[in-house]
Amino acid sequence: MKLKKVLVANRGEIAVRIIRALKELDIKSVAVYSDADRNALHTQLADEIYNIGEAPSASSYLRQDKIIETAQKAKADGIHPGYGFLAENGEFAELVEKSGITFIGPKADAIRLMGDKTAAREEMRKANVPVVPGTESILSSPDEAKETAAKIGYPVLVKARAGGGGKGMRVINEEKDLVEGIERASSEAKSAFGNGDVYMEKYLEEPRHIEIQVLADNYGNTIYLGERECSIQRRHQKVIEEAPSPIVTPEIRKQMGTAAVNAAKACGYRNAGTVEFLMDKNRNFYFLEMNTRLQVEHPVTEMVTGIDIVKEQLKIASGEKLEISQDDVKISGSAIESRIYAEDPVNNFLPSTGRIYRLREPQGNGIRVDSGVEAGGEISVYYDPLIAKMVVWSQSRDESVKKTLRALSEYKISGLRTNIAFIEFVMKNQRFIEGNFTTGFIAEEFSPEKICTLKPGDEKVIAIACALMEHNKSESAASVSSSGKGNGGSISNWKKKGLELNLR
Amino acid sequence: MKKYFVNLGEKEFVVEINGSGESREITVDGKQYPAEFRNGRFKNSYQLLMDNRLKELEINSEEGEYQVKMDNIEHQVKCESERARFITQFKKSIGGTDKPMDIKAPMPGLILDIYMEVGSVVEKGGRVAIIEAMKMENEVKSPISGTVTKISAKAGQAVEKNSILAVVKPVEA
Repeated sequence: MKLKKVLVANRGEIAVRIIRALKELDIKSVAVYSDADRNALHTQLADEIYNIGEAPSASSYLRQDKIIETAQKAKADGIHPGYGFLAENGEFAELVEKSGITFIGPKADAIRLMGDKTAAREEMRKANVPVVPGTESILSSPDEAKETAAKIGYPVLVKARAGGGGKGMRVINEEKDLVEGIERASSEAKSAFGNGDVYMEKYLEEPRHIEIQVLADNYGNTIYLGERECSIQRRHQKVIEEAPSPIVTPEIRKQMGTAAVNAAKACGYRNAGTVEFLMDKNRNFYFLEMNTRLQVEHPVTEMVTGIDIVKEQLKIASGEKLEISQDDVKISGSAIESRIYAEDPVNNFLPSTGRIYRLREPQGNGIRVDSGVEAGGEISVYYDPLIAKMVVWSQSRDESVKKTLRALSEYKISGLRTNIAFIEFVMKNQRFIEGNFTTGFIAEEFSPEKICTLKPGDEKVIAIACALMEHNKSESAASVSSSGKGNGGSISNWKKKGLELNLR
Repeated sequence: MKKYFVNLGEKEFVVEINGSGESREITVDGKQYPAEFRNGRFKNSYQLLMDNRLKELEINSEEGEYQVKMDNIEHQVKCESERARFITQFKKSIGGTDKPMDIKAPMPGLILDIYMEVGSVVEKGGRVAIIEAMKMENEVKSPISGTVTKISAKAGQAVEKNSILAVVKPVEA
């Protein structure tokens, strides 16, 4: 049962993360890569690497058959799905197990249960876990919808049953907008997930997104590792996460943690998972959904607890009993993670693609960068534009905010546009510093003008630099034409440099 | 002495460069700014040392326009020497109109929708198409106000970065 060789069915920073944990446990690592990831960092670190197809995910990282075939060829006894791709695909988990390979995660049933949002809510009700008021049943007619909405009370949120990541969701404030809102949510859900079923919940105003990390071994031992606050989101995509939450007291932590453990036990959960809650302005929390996989933002929990979640996943999958008891879990200090995306914050966060020809990652005391690329690496259209996760840890939240700013000032990425200036904006924002924010924060506080307005001194710097560039161009053009006559005049070093510049 | 006109956003700066080498003088809008301009170690990287403060810049130039990244924000800058400006103004005065501009795809992807046709009037910054890339829908905006004279792409087509989608003839000034 003890894992000896694990195939990492993923790419980018999470593949690197998992390979690192494997090495520390003396487990052989197998990486898979698409044609676009031929020189990717994760392929440079694994023990064995296999090409699994063309760049589009549907031809490579989503190919269940190719992945299992590769695992069998490599004689791997485990597969770690990472996050995204096939991580929450019950069919895949089952197929892996049927092939005699250990799926590093929960059982397929738990994945399927929690993947069905309405069934999950029903299960949570039974387990006495508070849920957002709403309906479990699928909305089948406009009249039924109107009745349900009236019962729940406006504003309501229409959500996709098979959904996630903010797709297939609509907030509806009044009855007159209800039917159209449902139709649009449903069609978006159908095209994104292949299933247009929608249900309805009360829309909590100014909610905070607070989630609890759980770990469960195969023997029923289930513990929680504290919370993460993930309210800084843009269109339901998280950008900045932290642990602990600035507003969670030890008492609330215990209540939420216990509820999360109950939720996990209710579906016979094994391995690592995260129970997401929404907290209203009165500090009431409600079950939102459970993510039956490792999450992007797991590092902040690792930094404040000292527990390596990926190694625990591997140990649990190897059949080991959880050695950590609930009392052993202590939260210390403050960790903040900033997701560095190849996106242009001045232009509605338009994704930016290209080759990174210069990379200087921040380092020093309390800095951890989980990166999927190296200098020379590429961010392509085929996959999401996450460059790296930059995580800081220090004794207090104030210090962590300052440290984030310090780290970002060192971060140099050339060849792409990034959201670094946006993250700096958040770190300097008074409401963020005070911990006073909800999921509406970015929409409320941010506009492009706030980061692209230049100080007069900086304007002059740019003006001078461009004038000099233009000046050097014409100077070197002049010297090229004059030196056309035999050996011409002598060329000054400045002009030589100018020539070099233009020829690069 | 060489004079340059630098357009940054809505502002224009007049930069004069006098002399060369160590005794070079730079003034901006009449005021002197002692500055040292160096190449960085990497492609497109430069440094400007002014008042003992070092500013790092990533500068790319494309067709007479500069993209200057400073403090992680990219700025579009136009820089024209005095002579070049004289030539442009001369052309205008003898009746040449502005050139038509291409609307280009800002990144590779799949065109979902095109909101214009030949003859449509578009506004600078107005949405003219939607391209899907990286699991998201992205708007393509017109760089200038004017009339569409040609459409070179259609919904359902896959495009590369900078593929020309349409041509817009500017509004006569």
